[in-house]
Amino acid sequence: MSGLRTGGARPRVAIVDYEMGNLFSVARACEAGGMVPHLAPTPDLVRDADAVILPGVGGMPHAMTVLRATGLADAILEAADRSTPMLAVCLGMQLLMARGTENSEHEGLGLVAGDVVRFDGHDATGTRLRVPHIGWNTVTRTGAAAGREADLLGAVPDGTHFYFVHSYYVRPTDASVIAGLTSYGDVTFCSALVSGNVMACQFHPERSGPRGLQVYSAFGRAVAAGRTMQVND
Amino acid sequence: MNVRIIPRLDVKGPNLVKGVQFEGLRVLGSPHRFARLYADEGADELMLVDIVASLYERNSLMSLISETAREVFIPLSVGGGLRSLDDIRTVLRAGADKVNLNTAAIREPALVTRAAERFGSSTIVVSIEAARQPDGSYEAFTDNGRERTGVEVVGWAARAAALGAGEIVITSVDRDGTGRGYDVELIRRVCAVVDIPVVACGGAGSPAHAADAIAAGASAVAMGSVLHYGAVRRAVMHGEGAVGREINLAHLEKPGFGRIADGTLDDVRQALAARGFSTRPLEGAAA
Repeated sequence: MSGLRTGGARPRVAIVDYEMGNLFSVARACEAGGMVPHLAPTPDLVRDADAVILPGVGGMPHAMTVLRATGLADAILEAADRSTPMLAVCLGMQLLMARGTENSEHEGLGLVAGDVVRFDGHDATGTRLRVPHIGWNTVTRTGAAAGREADLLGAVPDGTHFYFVHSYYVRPTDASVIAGLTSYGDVTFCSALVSGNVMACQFHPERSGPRGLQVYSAFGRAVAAGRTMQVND
Repeated sequence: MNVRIIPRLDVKGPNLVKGVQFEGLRVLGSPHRFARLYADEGADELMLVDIVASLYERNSLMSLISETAREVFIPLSVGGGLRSLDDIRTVLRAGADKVNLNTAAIREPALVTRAAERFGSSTIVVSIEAARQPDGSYEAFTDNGRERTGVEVVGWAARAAALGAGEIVITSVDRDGTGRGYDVELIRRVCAVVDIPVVACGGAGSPAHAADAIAAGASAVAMGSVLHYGAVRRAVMHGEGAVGREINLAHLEKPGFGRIADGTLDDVRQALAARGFSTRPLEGAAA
């Protein structure tokens, strides 16, 4: 099926469908970003694609259980081994990490070294932060990730507002993968990362208006141009 | 943290309607048209409530969700008559980001937990319709304030959070549609007992009322009349044919309209800023 992958054509992107998150809007955003999306509830549909999107909202333990039971976890890891470009969103970003701490300690996909922790902070008045963190917050570009942050954040201005809804956030071991930072109260966390061909954001670009769609466009362009194939530079 | 402003769109079949306490419903026009306008004007989310929630009209709600989610790239919460995990799944597959549970959550609190485990806590919003009682307490109602439940509101809000809800929408049945302002005492009491975000709903009669709800502890304000009547007024002023065809202007002549000091989302943002509350700047404006 990889014969369908032709230069210049719009890339075919598999949206990993394990029934968590707004897949409808992810698919519409992919179309707006110049890609041809299909929902992928089975491993073969992940293997066929030019690029993979790992979306999701919700709990990491349940998501990992479903991904393993369906064989989707192996298909995602195989895609990563083949350097297939990947965009992980919200819970998807958390699933990339090696370890989670929701309810009890557990394993993630392990594509990025680091862990996932729950918000435990305070606002300017000393009041405990309400969790989940829900709403529009700014992303500060770090300029890290070897300049490849543009593959994820495109030309969106520094400090752009994106829509967040989450209780946990990732802590990558290697700070050089952090492409964007966001603060909620006294907690500053990694809201965007680029690690090899794996890109991720904690916010929902498909729910973040025109600026959010630019993220999908940047990813679509990076996939089409094969720029993401130049890893470990 | 930026305060969220959430236009609330009550729908009945294909129409956006606005209920006024004891006066019944007014048809305002096409909900799709209003949703697009609010997204363009910088709404932080949209709240869609099917106020009839009959099985007969369920298909029209699903197509409205999909039509809206297709064009509007901001979060969409959907409520009204959702009874089961299957109902929730169907609405989410159609393009909703969150669901609001009211009647089903009160009847079967375990549904909140099961839904939160299945779809994620932040996807499950418990919506509470509260009516103030003579003794000063609040009782939860269902079916748009028509059915009493005997459930005390503040305790129920705390329990809903413990069951796994990611957010609470608290609506004052007494204030809804009246323009008298949010019930700040109700908001204050609910915010004091939960550590999840609270959305204040019901009673806004001017952009300035939003700041009262936030000062009482809410993380977001939902409003209908203020924004809807503002949209209708602008449609009249600008003589926009395309808008005019989709927005019913007849109710402008009816009593009650004058109680609402209508405005735009920008008016609400400015009113919040005047009281020191930050909001997301409109897309395209300087960050």
